[in-house]
Amino acid sequence: MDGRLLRSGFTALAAAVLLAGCTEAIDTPSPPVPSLPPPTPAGMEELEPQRARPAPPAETGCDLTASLRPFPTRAQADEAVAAIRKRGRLLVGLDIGSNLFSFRDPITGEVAGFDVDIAGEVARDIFGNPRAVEYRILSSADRITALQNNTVDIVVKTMTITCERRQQVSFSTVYFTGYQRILAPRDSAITQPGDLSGKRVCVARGTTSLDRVRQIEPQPVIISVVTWADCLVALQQREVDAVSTDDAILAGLVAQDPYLHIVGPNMAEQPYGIGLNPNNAPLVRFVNGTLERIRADGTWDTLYRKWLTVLGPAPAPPAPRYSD
Amino acid sequence: MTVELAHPSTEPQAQRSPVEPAHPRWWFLTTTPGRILSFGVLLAALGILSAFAISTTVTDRQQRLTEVLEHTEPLAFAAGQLYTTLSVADAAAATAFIAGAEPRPVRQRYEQAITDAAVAVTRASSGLTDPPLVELLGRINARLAAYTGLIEIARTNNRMGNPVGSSYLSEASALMQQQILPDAQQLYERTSAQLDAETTASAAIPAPVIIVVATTMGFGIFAHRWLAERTRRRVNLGLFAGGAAFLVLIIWVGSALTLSTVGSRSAKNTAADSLKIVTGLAITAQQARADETLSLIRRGDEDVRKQSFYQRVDSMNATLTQYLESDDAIARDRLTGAAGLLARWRQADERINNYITVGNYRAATQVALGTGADDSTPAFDRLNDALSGAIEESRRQLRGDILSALRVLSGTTVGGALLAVGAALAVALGLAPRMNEYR
Repeated sequence: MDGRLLRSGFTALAAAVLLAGCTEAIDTPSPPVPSLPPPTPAGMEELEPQRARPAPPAETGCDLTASLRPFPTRAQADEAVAAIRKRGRLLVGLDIGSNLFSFRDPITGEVAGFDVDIAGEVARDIFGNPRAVEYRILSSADRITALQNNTVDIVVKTMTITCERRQQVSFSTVYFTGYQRILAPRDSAITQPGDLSGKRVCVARGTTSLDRVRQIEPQPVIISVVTWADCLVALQQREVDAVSTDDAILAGLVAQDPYLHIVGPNMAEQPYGIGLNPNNAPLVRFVNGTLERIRADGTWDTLYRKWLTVLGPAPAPPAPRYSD
Repeated sequence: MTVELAHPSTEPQAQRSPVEPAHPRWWFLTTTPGRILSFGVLLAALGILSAFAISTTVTDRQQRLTEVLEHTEPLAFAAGQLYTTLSVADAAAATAFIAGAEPRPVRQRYEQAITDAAVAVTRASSGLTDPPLVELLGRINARLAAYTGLIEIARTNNRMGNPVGSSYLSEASALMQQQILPDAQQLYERTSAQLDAETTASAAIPAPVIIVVATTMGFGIFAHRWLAERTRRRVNLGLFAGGAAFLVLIIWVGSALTLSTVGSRSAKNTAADSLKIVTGLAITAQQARADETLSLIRRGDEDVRKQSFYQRVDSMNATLTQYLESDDAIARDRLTGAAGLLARWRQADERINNYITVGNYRAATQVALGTGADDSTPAFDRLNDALSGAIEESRRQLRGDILSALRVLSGTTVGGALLAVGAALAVALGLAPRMNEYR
């Protein structure tokens, strides 16, 4: 009648049953050890293999680097930027993952770089103050839509001028020329574009470098990320074997990791222009005026030496070409 | 001399089959003493059955409630804590990053949050037996280790002036926001559903016991009446004592079970629901805070995060209003000021967005991380404190309800069994003399 006695009896019985169960369970294998995919840069994905696009015929089908001539008079220039002046700030689209061109300086927390200073020169011409700038952080893939929607006034973000893009947006004259090359670990056998076949190559989404990598036969496996800095992360985490883009951007990545080096010949010439809204010809002329000024007064040279000496001695600034 | 031998054929054959009895054996059961005996046996059997039903039901209920108290509830709580501490860690990491040289309090907050999260993982792991949940927690734990590694890579790069630190931070944050936290949320939801199911089960009306006990009682009354008619004795002392013992049993166990069920109901309908709602609010608050701080890292997703922040704050407002209006709001006192804090937080966030719109990230960061009266940190911290207090209070109530549901049951197993067997014995003792009258 004692409940405790009863219970202890039950416990003994239960224990016996359990023990019997245990002797059987001893043979069962230990539970499978789960394996998790390693962490990867935010937004990284492997692109579907795609037919290599033939060298775009459009490249020859348009006058690639020709832009509009700057205003001859100060009054005309002032009129072109009256709306921006009224707002008080120049809206600049860029990203913070392209070291040397536009990146977040960890020490100051400010956005800095060659592109940032170029945008500052445009602001200087509008407001007399290079800091009257508001940055909109754009991924490479968002640059064109942001310009078309007037979310930004100008895009200064290592943007290569292509005929395809010219149909959607306007470009200033060329302010920098990059040469597409390959970034690989020093211990890797990759030395030229042909070595990339079948390897995992990292490129930022929506860039011209992507098209050029796709032309390699047989095709590399293309891993796309949001910013070029994410490619460095992917490389350091051994998610990719190489990165291919303009030497200037690659130099910015090498600067952060001495285990990497830039290899291979120039795969493509990449003329950088400032992206503008297609329907705002006056602003194109105004920006070209600024570029004209910084080429002439030595600012371009100063900026090059400030940011890009890793690429070698400062060359002459790219010569402008005007269509009218 | 002749020997007269009986001729075998004339010898009368031996009687082989016995005389048919007047009645088959079972006839005895139709006689009065037979009936008395069978009624007695039946009553005793029913009494034992009642004792068995009561003791199994009560034991089962006790086990369930103990399980809730010792396993399920602490597990659900630990899972909720795990979510919030992980969330705090991510917000603290982002904060440290945008704060520049990582001031001491910011660093400490991150380290404390990681410690809290590790402790919460351990707490959640004890008593977790369900294989899918074990796997879920294993994933969280493994990824938490990877997460802290990434944060340290981000810090090191940051200190060396390498802008790639910001990419590592984004990777860490994406790992937290897209993989670890959804897993933690799932763990919380599953354990919380388990808590729900178990409290609901212990709040059910014990139908089998009621049926068995009612049958026994009914049959006892019938037997007593029948006996009174047959034996012209109005009261059979044994049956009466048995009935009385049974009545005590019914009143005792019945009221204990009723009180216990009421306690479980209260735990389920008020405390557990309150705990669930408030924990949900705390989780949403952390998500909104993550939206706020992560938008300052500037990866180009500021607009999405802004939208999501406002959606979360609106949904919190709606839940809070609904909660405070309901009669079962246990932690009403603690949360009455929460709507005001939400409004202040929202205002602070609007100031952050205004600064972001004009490109003044430094001022935006100041509002997000500063400790001024109008900044967003004090509003968030106080809201978070209020929610933690409300969780604590709901939890205390829940555990109190369950504990009292458990307490009223103590002793009923033994006492119930004793009374039921006693009743059966009394019935036997009461019927035996009546049986003897027929010998």
